[in-house]
Amino acid sequence: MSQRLRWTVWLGACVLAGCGGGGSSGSSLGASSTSSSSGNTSGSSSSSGATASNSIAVAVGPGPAAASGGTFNIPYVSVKICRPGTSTCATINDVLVDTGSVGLRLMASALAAANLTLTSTADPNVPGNSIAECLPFADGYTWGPVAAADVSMAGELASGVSINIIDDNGSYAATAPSSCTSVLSQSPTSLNSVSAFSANGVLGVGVFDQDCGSSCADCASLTPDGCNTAMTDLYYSCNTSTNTCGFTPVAQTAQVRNPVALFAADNNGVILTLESIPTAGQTTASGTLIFGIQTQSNNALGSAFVLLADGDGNFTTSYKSQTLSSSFIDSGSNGLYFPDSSIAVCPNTQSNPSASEFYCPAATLSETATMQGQNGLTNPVPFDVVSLNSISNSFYASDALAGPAPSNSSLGSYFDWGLPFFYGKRVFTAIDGKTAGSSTGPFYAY
Amino acid sequence: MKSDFLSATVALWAASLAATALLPLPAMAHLGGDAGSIEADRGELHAALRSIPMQQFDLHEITAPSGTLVHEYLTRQGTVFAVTWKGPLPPDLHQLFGNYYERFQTAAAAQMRPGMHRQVNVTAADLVVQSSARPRSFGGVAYIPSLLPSGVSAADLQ
Repeated sequence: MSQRLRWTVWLGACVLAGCGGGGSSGSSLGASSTSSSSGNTSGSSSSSGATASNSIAVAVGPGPAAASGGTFNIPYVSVKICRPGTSTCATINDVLVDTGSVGLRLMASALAAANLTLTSTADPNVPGNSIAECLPFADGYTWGPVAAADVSMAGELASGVSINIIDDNGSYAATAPSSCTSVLSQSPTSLNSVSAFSANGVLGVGVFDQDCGSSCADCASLTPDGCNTAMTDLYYSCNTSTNTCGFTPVAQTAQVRNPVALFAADNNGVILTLESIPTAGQTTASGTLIFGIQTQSNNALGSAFVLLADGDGNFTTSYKSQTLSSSFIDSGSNGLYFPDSSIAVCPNTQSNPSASEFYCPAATLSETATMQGQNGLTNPVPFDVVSLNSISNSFYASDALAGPAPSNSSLGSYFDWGLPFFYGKRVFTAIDGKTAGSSTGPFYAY
Repeated sequence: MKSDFLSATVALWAASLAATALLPLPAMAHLGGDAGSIEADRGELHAALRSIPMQQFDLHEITAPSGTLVHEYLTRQGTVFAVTWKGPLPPDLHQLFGNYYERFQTAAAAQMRPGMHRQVNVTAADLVVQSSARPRSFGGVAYIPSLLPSGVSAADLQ
């Protein structure tokens, strides 16, 4: 989601003040090679409490050096990946943990820095072709091949899972076709870079097993050239001789998948928990990503409020007489985003052309919104809203950063419960169709 | 007389065919375009079209095969002043925005948003765009403030 973007200011601040606790000079592009110790913040600054075989450390901090300190409220983990069935592996640090998407995506540059080469997945239907994926975002797209890898975190292993390599270094011969850059993408801006995500990759552990599902697995209508290309799809088959690519259906099992769903056990979801921080913010914050729900002693639902989601992973949030029916909980959003015309929006400035993505109330506001699941159960959630301009430039963590969202009901208006929601909570995200305790996903709980 | 009429009709046809041949294809433009551009959108999106006359504007609803729903709003004078969309895959904004696409793109690119890029709010010269992009869930609204019919606000664009 939108970034705080005082980042040009921060860059200066970082030079002067060393960016708080984050001056880990060794982070570079974040990739450390086989079995080496993790050399930067994501591995070292939050070792507390992350020793179980089903949990790994999470750090909210400055992120990879290539992000130039432009990060804010981004939770990072380290992920070990191997060529399938081999011990040729690398650990990639500073991977963004995202409960709002599905699948592991890694920058090609991070893999290259770790000296790990993965093989792009062959198209089972067209000899010589390989599978690539175009992913549309609000302001651009990513592009790159799909590859199989063994993904491991703590004691968990997803064997031969399809991941997406974001081709930020041009190592994939086929470049993004125009149907990706100017049709599927909302804006023809390439987001193929570490700086675009402030991360070496994204670990999508959201409420689904596959990143696209049936709409990318089915062929709407066959033409002599294959699938009807008007039916946009995220997946492409690329001819590796001519480097031309066209839409193709990909079976759900071969799509980019939530690695958690492929674990032998602890495969029904995750818990992301972050430490409690002051309303004024904090330099960095630590937390834990726990695999499985109600499968081990450290991931019990206990008395958590269970929020059943609809088929899109959404629920309803009631806020100041608005019914926001497409609401979601998303660690990949760096603020709380919701419509409220009574709160002042920050003015854009030359140094921060994206300030208007955030609220700037004159004084800290204490608000409440009520979440309602598909089963009708409701739970009020108090939260604070601070002004973007009141947060110290040296802080990477805030539990009260917020910004506006569209109020048009045609869009399925939403309350985006971003990372501020996670501080001081254990937030469960259960995968569609999987059972945890007495509930079946998709659901959230906290 | 009959033959005169016939030849006149044939001449008219010929003229209109010639004119058609000379005219460019329907403009890809849609925001700011006319009713004809809606048909172009429908064709481009391989979609079904439903028209709903409203009091202050006409609403055209286009459903793409992916299930994505597009609404196009026309002023009484027949100009598209707003579009909205919602569905599992994004529609072709280049097609829907027409001549307004470039200013949207320029304004969006001027902003920086590291992280997961799930939302964009753009206010450019006579263009407002709010868009959200989540896996399996895309939605947005775009309108031309100067063309909003009097008494119609952004909140009326459903």
